[in-house]
Amino acid sequence: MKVGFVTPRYGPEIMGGAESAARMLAEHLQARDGVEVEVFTTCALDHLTWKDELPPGVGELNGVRVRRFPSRAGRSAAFYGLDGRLRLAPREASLQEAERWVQLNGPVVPALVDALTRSDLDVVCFYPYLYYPTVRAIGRVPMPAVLHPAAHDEPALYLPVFGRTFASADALCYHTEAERRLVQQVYPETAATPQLVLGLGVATPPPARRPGGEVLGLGDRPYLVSVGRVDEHKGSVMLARFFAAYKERHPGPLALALVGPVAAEVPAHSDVVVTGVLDEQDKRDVVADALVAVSPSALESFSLVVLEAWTLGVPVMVNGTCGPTREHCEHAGGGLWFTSYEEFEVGLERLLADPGLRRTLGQAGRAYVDRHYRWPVLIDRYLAFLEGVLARGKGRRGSSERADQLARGRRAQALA
Amino acid sequence: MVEERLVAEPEGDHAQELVRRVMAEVHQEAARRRVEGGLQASELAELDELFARHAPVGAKGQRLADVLRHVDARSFVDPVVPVASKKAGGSALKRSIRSATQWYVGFVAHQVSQFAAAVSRALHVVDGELQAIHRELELVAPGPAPVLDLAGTHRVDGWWVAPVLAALDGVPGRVLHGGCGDGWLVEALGQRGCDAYGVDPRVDERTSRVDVRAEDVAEHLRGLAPASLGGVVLSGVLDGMAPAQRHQALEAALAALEEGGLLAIQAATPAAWDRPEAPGEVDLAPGRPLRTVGWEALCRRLEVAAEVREGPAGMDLLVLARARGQGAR
Repeated sequence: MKVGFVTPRYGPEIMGGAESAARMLAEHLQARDGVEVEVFTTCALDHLTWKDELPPGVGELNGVRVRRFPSRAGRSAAFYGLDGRLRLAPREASLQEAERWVQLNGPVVPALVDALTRSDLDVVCFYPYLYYPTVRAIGRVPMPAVLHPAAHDEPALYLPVFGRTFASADALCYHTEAERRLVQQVYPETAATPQLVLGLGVATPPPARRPGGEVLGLGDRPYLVSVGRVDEHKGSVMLARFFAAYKERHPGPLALALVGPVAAEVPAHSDVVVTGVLDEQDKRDVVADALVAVSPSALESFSLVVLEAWTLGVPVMVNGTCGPTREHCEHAGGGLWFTSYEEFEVGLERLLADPGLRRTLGQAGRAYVDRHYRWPVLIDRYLAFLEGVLARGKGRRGSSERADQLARGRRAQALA
Repeated sequence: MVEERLVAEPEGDHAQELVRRVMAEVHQEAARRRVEGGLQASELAELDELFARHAPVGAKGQRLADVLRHVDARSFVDPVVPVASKKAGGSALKRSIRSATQWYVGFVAHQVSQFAAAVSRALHVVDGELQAIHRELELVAPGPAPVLDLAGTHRVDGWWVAPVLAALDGVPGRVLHGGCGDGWLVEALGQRGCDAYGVDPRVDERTSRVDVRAEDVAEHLRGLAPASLGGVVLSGVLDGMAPAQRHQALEAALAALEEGGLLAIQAATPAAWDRPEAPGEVDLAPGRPLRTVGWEALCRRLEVAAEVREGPAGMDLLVLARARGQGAR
C-alpha cells in the first residue's frame, strides 16, 4: 500500500503537535512490510512565516521519502488584521473571507497540490485541517483522502471554508473522543463518515541517568514540571502566575520547571526554572523526578507530554477546559484538572500532601498508556483502518459536489 | 444481559473512581475558598482573566456560571496605564502622559467598568433563572434510554439478523448500527462487503478494530445529514424511550436515509420487560416497549410502510421499513 502524508511542515526540528504526530505516524507506518510512505510538505520550519528554509526536492528522512515544495507565499502581514476581525465571530464570516483567511495564512503551495493530484498514491492522509495544502487538495485528489484534523476548539475551526474540507474527507482519524465530539458538533455532516479514534503512540522511556533536580540545578528540592513550548497560548504564563500565587500562600522549597523552547517571556520568579530545550535523556530525568507534571494548555488535540509523564509514573494536572487532556485524566484515572486558580491550589495541595494518591494516579496513567497508546497496537489499528478506506475506494462523500450537496441538505433542514 | 461497559478497564476503575471523588472534593473546597475570599479581589480577577484568555471557543460543557466568572474578571477596566518601557526615558514620558490624562482615562474607565458590571449582574440574574428552569425541566424531561438486550438476541445468530443482512444487500450507502455493542454486526456487515459503522454509549472506541463510536444513539441520529445513509439498524435502542423521544429518533433515522434505504428495528416486547429476571434499568427507563400493533400504528403515523415480525420466543420483534427519500415524505 502506498500511503501519502500531507503536512505543512515536516522534520525533527518541528515541535508542532500535529506535524510531529504526522512524522511519527509516517515513520512507524513505513516500518511495516508492504507499506510505502511518501510525505508531501513545504520547505518551511517556521509556522509564523512559512519561510523556505529547507531545500526543495525529494529526500529521505528515517526511511520515509519526503518531497518538499517551495511556497509561493508564506503568512501575509494582512493575515493578522483579517484573523483578528474574523475570530470575533468566525461563524459569521463569509465563505470568501474564510477562503482569503486560508490564503493569507499560508503556506501557499499550489505545486504541492498539483503533484499530489498526479501522484500514484493509494491513499493520502492530510494533517492537520487548518492550512492551505489540506484545504486546497483534499477535494481534488483522485485517491481516497483521510483527514487527521488535529482540531481543538479555536475560532478558525468555525470558519465556513472548513465545512467543505471536513465533508470532502473520505475518512477521519482523530486523536481523542473529545476531538471527534468537537468536530461532529461543529460539522454534523461528518457523523456518517468512516472514522477512527487512534491517538498517538508513546515510546518506552530510556532508563534514568541522573536525578532531575541535578539537571535543573535544584538539588533535592521538590518540583513540578511542565513540558512543551513555553508560550502564552500554551498556558505557560498563566501557569507561572498561578504558581507564584500558590507560593505566596504556601512558602517552601517547591519549584516549577518549564521545559521546552521559549516563545514567551515568563515573569521572573526565584522558584521558577525555565530550561529551554533539553535533550531526550535530560527531559526524561526531569519529568521522572517531578512530583506532578502540569499541562496548562487549553488547546491540545492529544498531548503527548501527558502520556509521557504517565509512562514514568508521574501524575498530571491539566487545564480542565481542554477536552482531550481532561478526557485522558478521566479515562485513565491518572490526574486532576483545574478550571480556576482555587481548583489549581486545592488540587495541588491534595497531590503534594498525599504520596499514595500521586503513586496511584501515576500507576493508573501508566497502565492506560500501556493499554491504548503503544505503537504496535496503534499501527495495527491504523493499517486495518487504511485498508478499509482503500477497500471502500474514493467515496461519494469524497467529491466536492457531494460535500456541497450535504451542506445544502443541512441548510434546508435548518430552514425547515 | 445488560452490559454495563463492554470493554472494562479493570486496572483503571479504582483510579477513575478515586479521581472522581478527589475532583468532587476539589470543586467543593475551591468553591468554598472563592466564597470566603481567600485572595484579594483584584488578584483573583487577574488570575481568572489569565485563565480565560486562551480558553476554548465552544461553550459546550461549560456552565454559564463559569463563563460569567470570566466576564466578571474582565469587567474591571484598569485606568492606571502601565508605564514600563525598554527605551531610555520611555517610562518618564509615559508617566507624564499618564499624569496628564489620568482624570479623563479614569472617568471613561469608570463608566465602562460600571456598564460591564451592570451587564454582568443582568447575566447573573439570567443564569439564576435558567438554573431554576433547568431544575424544573429535569423533573419532567425523560432521561436517556438504556440500550438493552433483554431477548439475548444481539448476536450474529440472533433470529432477526439474517433477514436484516439480506434486506441490507445493495442498500445505497453506509449502514449505521445503533446499539452496536462491540461491533459484532458491523463486522458481519463488513464481511458481506457492506460499509457499516456503529454507535453505542457503552463501547470503548479506542480498543475496537471496527468503526464504532461511544455516543448516545438518539443524539447521533439527530446530528446526521439528510440522505447520508443507506441503512439504519437499531437494536435495543428504542425499547425504553419515552414516546416523544422514540418518535423523534425514528424521524431522524428516516430523514438520514437515502431513497430506498432500509430502516430495521429490533426491539423487546412488553413480555420481555415484564419477566422477573429483567434488570432494574427497565424500571428506570423513561418509556415502555411497544407491542406489534403499537409499532404498526407508529409507522402509520410516520407515513412509512413497514413489516413487523415477532421473534420465535415472543421476547422481541423486528420492524423493517424502506425509506421513500426526502421528497416523498
